[in-house]
Amino acid sequence: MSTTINPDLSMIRQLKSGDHRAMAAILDKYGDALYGAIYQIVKSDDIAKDLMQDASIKIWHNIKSYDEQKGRLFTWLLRVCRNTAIDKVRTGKFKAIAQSKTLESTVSNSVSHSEEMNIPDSGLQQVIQRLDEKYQQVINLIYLQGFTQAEAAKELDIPLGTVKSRIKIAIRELRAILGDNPLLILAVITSLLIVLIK
Amino acid sequence: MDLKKYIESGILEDYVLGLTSDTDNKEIEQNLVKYPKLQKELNQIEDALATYAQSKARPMPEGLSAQIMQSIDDLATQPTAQSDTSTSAAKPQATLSKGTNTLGIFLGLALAGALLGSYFLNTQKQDAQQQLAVSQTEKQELNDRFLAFQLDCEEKDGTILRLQEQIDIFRNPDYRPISLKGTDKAPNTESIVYFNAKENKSYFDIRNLPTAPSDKDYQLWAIVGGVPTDMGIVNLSNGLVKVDHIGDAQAFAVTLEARDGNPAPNLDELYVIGNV
Repeated sequence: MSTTINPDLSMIRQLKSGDHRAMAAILDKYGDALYGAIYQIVKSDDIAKDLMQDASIKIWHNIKSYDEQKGRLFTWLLRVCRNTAIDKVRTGKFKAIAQSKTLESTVSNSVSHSEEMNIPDSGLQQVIQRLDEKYQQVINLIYLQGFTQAEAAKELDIPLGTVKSRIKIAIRELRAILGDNPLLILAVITSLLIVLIK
Repeated sequence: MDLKKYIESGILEDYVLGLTSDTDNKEIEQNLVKYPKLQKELNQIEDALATYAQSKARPMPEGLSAQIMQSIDDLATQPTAQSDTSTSAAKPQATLSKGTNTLGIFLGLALAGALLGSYFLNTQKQDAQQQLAVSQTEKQELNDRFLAFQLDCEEKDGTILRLQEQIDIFRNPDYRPISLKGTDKAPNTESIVYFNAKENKSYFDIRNLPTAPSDKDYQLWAIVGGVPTDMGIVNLSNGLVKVDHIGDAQAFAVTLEARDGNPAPNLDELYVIGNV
């Protein structure tokens, strides 16, 4: 976790040179996580499928504008996906539906969803579950769903200052949890094995 | 630059979360190139968040990945298909140069006319295409500006709502102001909790406490049965803020704690306190 060596470097180079196989590799490695973020925003598989397709084409077209020095590939990929989904949500028709959704349904959705899914990385989920629910909420809203801090404060009905401090505590805790964790190492090895067996 | 301070300010976290402005981003990106330590820190934040995102993954519906790859393959092959048609269209012209003199000249002229005409039409088509592209860019720009404007309005709406909320608190007799008086640490200061037992709501105004050092934060506590309960970080810049309503609180107090707060108060750093 503490390395600065970019684990995606060869994938990035291949992608920038126009090699399709790199795109397949990206979908393989990050597709489910990106799809998960889009789904959290639009709450519909039908819409999320279309948006994932749109976002992938944007990624393919714009990969040259990604600069490794400005951060990890995944951060950039997530930003493209999040923005694609947010643009969709901001269209008039969608907005009416989105606004009627309460946070409760957001939370219950994500909970029931993680139960219904067969994620191979249950070890990873277990580790993340150690992060208090209130911290997961702010990270879900801001990092995965692209809320502003003010929007998150409104949605969670907590003061803006609390949102700000929760973000910092959440990331600090997350780093501490993930920093040196045997369960996580196990989870990573398991997912590697699964990929190899595939 | 004091890198430690820069990292502690939380700006890198905000950058990863997309909460920083374009101007901030430019500055941050310059710093990232300049200071490898910052990049290392950034990557660690990103990796932690990426792992979080992985834990919230949802399997893509079956066939979606193949569908995406298919459309990318289609996109990549389109330009070559176009260039093929343009070369094949040029072929028939070569066979027309044969024939008798008059017919040849006539056909030659007709061909020249047709070529000229098609050139003219083609230029017009290109112009129209260029104009279309320009108006599409303009449309996109207008759309972006509209979105920015909409966001701006929403933000202003938020500010108005907050101000309205504050006025309502001051005018509502159900809000009882509880004065928290300065200790020896900060004599002549006062913070106020606006306590509404009827609607179970509380607000807090930190007012005139001295500015906290950059590595510390003020933290608000409710004292319930002699035990302090954490009510979160309170910043000078926030003005009047909504806080948790703790109905059975006997007193409220503010202490100066390490950045982002502590689970239990440091009573040596008690700044203001007041009984309910």
